[in-house]
Amino acid sequence: MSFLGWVREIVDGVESTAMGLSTTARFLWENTTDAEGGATALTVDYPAAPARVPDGFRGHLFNNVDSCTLCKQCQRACPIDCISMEGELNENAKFRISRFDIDLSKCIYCGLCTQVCPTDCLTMTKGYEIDPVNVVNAHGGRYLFRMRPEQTKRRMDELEVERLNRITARDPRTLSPEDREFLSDIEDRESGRFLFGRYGLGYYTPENKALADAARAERKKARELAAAQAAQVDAAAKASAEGGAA
Amino acid sequence: MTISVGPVSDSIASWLAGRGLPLACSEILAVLLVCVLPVLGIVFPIAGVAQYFERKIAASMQRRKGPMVGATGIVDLVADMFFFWLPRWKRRVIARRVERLPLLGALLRQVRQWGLGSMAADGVKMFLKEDMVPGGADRVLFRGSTYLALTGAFLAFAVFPFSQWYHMGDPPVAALYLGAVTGLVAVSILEAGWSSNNKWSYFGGIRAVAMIVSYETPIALAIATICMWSGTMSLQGIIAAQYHPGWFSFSGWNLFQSPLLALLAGVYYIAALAECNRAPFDLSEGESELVGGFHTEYSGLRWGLFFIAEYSDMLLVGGIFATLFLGGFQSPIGEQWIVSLPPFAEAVVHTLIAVAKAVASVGVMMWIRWTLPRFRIDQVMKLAWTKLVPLALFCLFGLALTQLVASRRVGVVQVAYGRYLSAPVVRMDLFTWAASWVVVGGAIGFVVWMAKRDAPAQTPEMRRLLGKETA
Repeated sequence: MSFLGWVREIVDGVESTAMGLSTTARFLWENTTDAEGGATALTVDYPAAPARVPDGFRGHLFNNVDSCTLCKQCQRACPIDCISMEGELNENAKFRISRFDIDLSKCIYCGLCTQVCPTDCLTMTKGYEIDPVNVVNAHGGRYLFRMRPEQTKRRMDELEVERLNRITARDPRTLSPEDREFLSDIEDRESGRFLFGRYGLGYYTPENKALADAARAERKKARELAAAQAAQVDAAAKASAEGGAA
Repeated sequence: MTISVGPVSDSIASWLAGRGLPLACSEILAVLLVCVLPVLGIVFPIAGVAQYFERKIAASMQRRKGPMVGATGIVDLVADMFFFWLPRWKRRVIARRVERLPLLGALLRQVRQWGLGSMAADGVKMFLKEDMVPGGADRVLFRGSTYLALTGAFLAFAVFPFSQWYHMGDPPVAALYLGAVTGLVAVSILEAGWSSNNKWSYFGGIRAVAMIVSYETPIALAIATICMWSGTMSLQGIIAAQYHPGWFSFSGWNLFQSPLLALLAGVYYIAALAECNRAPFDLSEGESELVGGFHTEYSGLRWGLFFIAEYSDMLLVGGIFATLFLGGFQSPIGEQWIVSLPPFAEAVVHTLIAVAKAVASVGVMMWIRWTLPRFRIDQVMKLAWTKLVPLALFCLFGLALTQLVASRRVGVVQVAYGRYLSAPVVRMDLFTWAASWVVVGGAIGFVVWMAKRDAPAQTPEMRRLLGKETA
């Protein structure tokens, strides 16, 4: 090896080492500053930060009881019989739902019930955080998610929903007597759980309602489009049939 | 009878004696304090925490999160102890409620977020693991090697200058002593490899010795060059010779005196990295080839002692690098005010600066470890004998020439630095300094330019990197 070759070897070594060091330094910088491409882009501090779920994620079931017609299609579609419901006549002598139970510890998240629902009131949320086994054990009951008659009658307005969200986000020991009273109004004594709002299972969580409404509108649009196309096809077939006959 | 290791121990002893302690007792206490504190108070904690930071840094460089062990297990354990009569799921519910408490919960979340639990988990695991000696192993050597590893690392701190007033000793041959003592690590590794009765461990020990024999050469040459440059082998003297009064005290540091000294710093750092047996020179461990190398058979606290010795070595090497090239414990700016502080304040400030420099060096070592892959044994030997040794010799003769030429112009002076007076050294003035950088730096730059123009890339890897397969 010539002298210049020797120098070149050293220079190449230094240069390639510097190249590697700069790459790892860049990674370190990106990772610690949460820049794009850092670990935070790939890894989520799940309990500390919300985890991401993909589109079309099939999470916990959610029933919009206002639109439910008690047709029991979902109950029939369910392959493991985790849905059960009851109806009652209200003060205007109209039939409406009084109880809607979903046993989440049995649910297999297949989504068949949401497909057959004619009013699109039964949907799947993106929620996944409930551990049905532990929660059901902890509350000594079989059903995790239950609408009771007095709760189906009760409706909260937007202000009440906001208040509920505000309260449930706080430490329970710091609540004022008014807040406690408000909570006891809407608390399910049997399960010790707020069925509205807190876990996104109840009806009046604004996010859940918005999501359900959007999904409903989308499906309605799709159905109308399909109907229109079918009508077109029918008309064309009729016309061709008439033409053939002529 | 008077026992003393310097003025700091003297003042502590007199303070203790003034409080009514017997004189001999207070002197022994003071000496113990001064001698043990650097090891127990500085080196041990840093070596313990370094493992955590190494894992975090490694993870970040690989775009991972690194250790994320929280304190959940501890909370569960406490709940189990205090509510043992409850069913398991109720104890878990209680533990989760405790984790949601306002202050404690926030603390526990931070612990989890940063993975601080991994430190405690590693420590507990290390202490509780069974201490096993394999059958057929030489029990005495097997056990002795761990102590020898620690001895080598900690003996060197006996001459390490933490500050002008705070050090255990400053013998006039400190540089020689350093070279002798740091070699003990290789002996301990050979001992561990030999006594384990395991061929992979033995290979690891042999590799360590082969490497130490090769890499002691450039290290010794580098230290000899600095001793020549500073005219002394005392570490305090080497630091005093780098003192530059005024705001920009870093301009007196050896690293900036000449391009040859900067080159020598690089040579020394690489060789010292190899002497620590750190990646990319961790051939004696080589877990992909030798299972775990010399510490394959070690478990529990004995392995932990090797580990602490490794990190102490890294700290030591960083501290020596700083002493030789970065002005030791000197602050980069405004050193003249710090050195004129009263002894105790000076000791605190300078110790902090010295430790900061050593820790920064450990950080760079981690950076290198997680960047470069492990060398082959022939590459390691080639690097030492065909690159580092010639470069170190080149620097030695070049600096001797520089001193010769510069002394004609600026003469020889003794630098007064605090309580020390340096040996007669050549202090470069602005002209000789600039001339050194322009002439020598220009010559080196010219050779590099010539090499890059005329000589093809020497290794196929580099040709591939540069996109020039031919040549």
